[in-house]
Amino acid sequence: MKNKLRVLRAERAWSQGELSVRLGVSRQAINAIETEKHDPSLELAFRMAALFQLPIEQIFEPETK
Amino acid sequence: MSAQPVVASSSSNFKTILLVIGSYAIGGSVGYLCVKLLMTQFHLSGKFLTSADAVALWLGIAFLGAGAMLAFVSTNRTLLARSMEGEGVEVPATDDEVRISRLQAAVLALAGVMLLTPIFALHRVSLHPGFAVKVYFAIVVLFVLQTVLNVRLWRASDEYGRRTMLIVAASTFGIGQALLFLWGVAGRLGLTAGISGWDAIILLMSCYMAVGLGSWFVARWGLRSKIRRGERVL
Repeated sequence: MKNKLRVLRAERAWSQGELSVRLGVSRQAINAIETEKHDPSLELAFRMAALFQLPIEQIFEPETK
Repeated sequence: MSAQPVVASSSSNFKTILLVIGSYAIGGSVGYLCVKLLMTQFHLSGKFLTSADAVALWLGIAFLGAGAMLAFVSTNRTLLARSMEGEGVEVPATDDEVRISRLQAAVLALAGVMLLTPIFALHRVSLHPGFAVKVYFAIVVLFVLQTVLNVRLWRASDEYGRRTMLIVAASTFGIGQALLFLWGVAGRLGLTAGISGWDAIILLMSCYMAVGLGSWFVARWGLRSKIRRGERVL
């Protein structure tokens, strides 16, 4: 799953540590999601959508072959 | 918004794989030297020490060392944050991150102590067989304590931490089961010596150490693969 988390975070000048505190997860989780090593749970995806005030599909995009 | 997220490329995959192999080589060499030194200092050679005991010594030192290092890193929030974050660190480690790191350090250190204790008790047990029961009871107490800490670690971790634990456990089971099966069959056919419970647990702990160390490097530096992303590869 592709995502725009790094871009959205950079636009707000947040570090991975800052974003992790805002979302209530570890900074390893943020790093893993940004580098597409981990697809977040639905619950976390909704928390991200609420934090960035964007629909989920504007943050995540399925990878197409 | 046209910018794409940065993902691990094949060159960074190569870097991660090199780091894993390098850490195994360095850890193995340092561990071997430590084991040789301990065997000389504590007269552990000869009839008291099997091959599994020598590996247990190496693993015990490695677990204890990793626990001590993590405990030390957790005393400095900036250093701890740097060990976890994939880019420039501006936010020091939080209370939760410090707590989780200390729990991990305690779990690792206890694993080391539980592996080393039987080895260092062997000589005395050979002189006073009743001592074995006391050592066993002490190890059971440590094991219960470690289990409690492991459960607390699971509960304190987020979804990514739990996923990592599950992957390490599943990989250790898969690799350990395969090795135990092949060793067990060879033993049953008389091709190798039989396998004891101690041999089996040392083999499993060796797998756990190798998989756990590899997973830490992958979590820190990344490894991009179709399998990890859940895609079919055939």
